[in-house]
Amino acid sequence: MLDTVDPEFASYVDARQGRWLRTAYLVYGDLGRAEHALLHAFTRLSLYWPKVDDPDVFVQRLLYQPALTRWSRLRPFPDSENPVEQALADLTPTQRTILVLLHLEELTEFEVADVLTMSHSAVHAQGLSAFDRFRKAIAAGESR
Amino acid sequence: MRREDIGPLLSQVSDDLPEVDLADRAWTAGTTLKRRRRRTTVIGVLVALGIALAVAMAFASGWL
Repeated sequence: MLDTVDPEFASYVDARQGRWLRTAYLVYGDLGRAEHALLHAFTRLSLYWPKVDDPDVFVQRLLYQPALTRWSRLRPFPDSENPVEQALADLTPTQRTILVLLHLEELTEFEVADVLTMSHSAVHAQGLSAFDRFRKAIAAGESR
Repeated sequence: MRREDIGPLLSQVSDDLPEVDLADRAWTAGTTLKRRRRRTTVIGVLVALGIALAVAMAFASGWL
């Protein structure tokens, strides 16, 4: 492994870090946690670079699967006044992750299932409930 | 609200985030991690060999 960064690795990271940081921010609800998770995922990728078959799926799995844990007590978007962030904070971690991957990353349900190692039917059901809950939370925020 | 409205809403919230530069940091962290793993492996092998040698010597001298 070279001490100086591999140019192909650098261009790969440069092309994706902005988009994935935005997605991870919405999934984790905290910029520090999002950046840490993304750095961790890119660090792991660098260990196997360039032998990974599909680097996008490799990084996305490392980036989003830790967000699904039920044990985190950290509330997303603490102290946020933004209605969209509040609506996201009302979702479960799984619902929030699936909603963001479907609608911001624009992955298909099959791709989300692959990244999160869930069944397609689970992703479909969680996506529907996330959309319904998010829509109601936004409507409630607008009526306040 | 329609499904097509969600993407733009989410984009609005996350558009103002600061730029980051993770390539160098990730590569450096990866290099450090790889060296640490290699060092741990070498130390583990040396410890195992040392234990094996000690046991062999104990057998040879009749202690075990």
